[in-house]
Amino acid sequence: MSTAKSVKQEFDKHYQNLCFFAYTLLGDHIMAEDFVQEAFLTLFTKFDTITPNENVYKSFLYTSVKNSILNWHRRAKVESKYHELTPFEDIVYLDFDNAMIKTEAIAEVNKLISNLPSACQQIFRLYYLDGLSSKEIASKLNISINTIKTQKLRGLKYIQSKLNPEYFLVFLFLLK
Amino acid sequence: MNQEETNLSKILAKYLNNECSDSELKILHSWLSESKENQKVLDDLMNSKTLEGDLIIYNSFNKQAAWENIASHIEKGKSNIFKINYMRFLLAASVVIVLFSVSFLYYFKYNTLSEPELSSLAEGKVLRNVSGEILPATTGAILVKSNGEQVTLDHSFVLNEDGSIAFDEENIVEDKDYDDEESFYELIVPKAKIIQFAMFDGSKIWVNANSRLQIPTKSNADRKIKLLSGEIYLEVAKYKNSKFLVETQNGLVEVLGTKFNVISSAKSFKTTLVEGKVKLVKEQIEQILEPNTSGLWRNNEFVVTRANLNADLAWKNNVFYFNNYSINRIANQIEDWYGVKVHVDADVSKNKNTYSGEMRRDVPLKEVKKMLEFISGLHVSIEGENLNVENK
Repeated sequence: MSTAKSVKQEFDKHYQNLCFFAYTLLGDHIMAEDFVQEAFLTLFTKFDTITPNENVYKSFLYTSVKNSILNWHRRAKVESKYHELTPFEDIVYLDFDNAMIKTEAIAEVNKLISNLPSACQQIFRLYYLDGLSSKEIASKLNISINTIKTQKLRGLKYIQSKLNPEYFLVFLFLLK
Repeated sequence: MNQEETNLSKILAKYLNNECSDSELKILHSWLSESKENQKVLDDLMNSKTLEGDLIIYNSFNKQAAWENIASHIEKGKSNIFKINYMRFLLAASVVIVLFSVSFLYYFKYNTLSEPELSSLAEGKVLRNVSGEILPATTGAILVKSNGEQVTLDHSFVLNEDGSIAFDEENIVEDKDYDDEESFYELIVPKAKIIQFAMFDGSKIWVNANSRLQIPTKSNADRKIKLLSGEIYLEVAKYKNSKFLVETQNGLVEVLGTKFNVISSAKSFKTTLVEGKVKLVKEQIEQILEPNTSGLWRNNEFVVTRANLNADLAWKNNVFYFNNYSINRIANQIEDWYGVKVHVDADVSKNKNTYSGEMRRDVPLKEVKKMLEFISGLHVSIEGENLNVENK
């Protein structure tokens, strides 16, 4: 398999998680995507020097992004001290460990949605991920609002059967 | 990526799926009790609002476009993404140099208006519509002539070569009182106001709320603007052989034909270059900036960093942009734009949280209040001409 193809494989596996990871630390979409894309570029150029192992690739990518963020942060810290009226307030603490944990957790939850039965899932995605209202979804998919409600309930029941009861309450609010 | 993190993520996921064994639960609980931040990770997952937000963010990254970008870089043999991505900003961005104010006293030799009078002019007035909603800034400024006379402007204007100010093809202000080479107009843009003007050489300047500048009444060999305080964005045209200078309390920016942003405060000044080239000068020290970089004066040198054009030019694009800002920093921006006073509860300032968000700023204050509440989870209320921020 060509290097580009191998990198694409890793890309499909990790891009979203890496972006979310970077975004959690930076708060900026564009910067996050920039850093992550650069990590993949670097992976490509250094591919032959890396042990061909899944975990090694993953580790390489995360380390790459982490370093980019660290470098940026060092400089941003300099700026913020002098930008603020109260000089020592704004030191942003970078919690890489928790950013990692949070990323994997969200990825899990997202997977849950991907495991929903398809009609349900479509509605879930339109409602939560695309931010459409029930009305908009109804007209977009050409189905009645009642059908939407039914599908949402089905999704609820499915998730309920899978989830920790405590966590299910969280989804209950989401699904209102 | 250490083993512990991977295990914890797996355990967390299992916890959500109700699949945790007792020993795994023990590990989870001990991790949770280690720090507040750890507990927060779980709390955010258990909070439907933050969870929803996170899910939306997680799904917001365009994989296809990203791969196309990476693939094209691989093809061209490039190893650096950033320059390409920021190209899209070159179209909109100009160099904005932010210069922070210079000592007021030094520049007021000719003014018969006292300093307290001038700073009270900068305070501005809160604007309201018929329903009493607090509105964002409108175009306007106060021009103070060297004899102290004030002219209220409510429109963008042009500074002519002979020192007169014009708009709508009708000359309205002339400063003939002093023949001194140093004579200038003071331009005060109060809070809740914003203005743009053009110069005889074709340069365009945008001035943010709560700024004070001095602009020349005579066109000298060098075109010079003094930024006393506040923020300006400039698109400077090449004009004969003359340099364009922006002077601040903490240093000077020499422009060699370009687009840049300058923000100036008592402590420092920061220049962000979009396009072209500028030279930053402080006493003996000089620094040339390349596009997409920012220069900040610190510890007797100019610190050059990659520019965050989104953040630095947000104001000119009429947007509020907070990137991990403390509540106080956000409060300052709101005060400048609306003219209101923001009161942040001591408990809130203490907790050192930072927030990120982006929204248009040509909206009434209550929209900003809503956004602020949403991103911070704090309680924000509008009372007359005050904005209060407290813990819920």
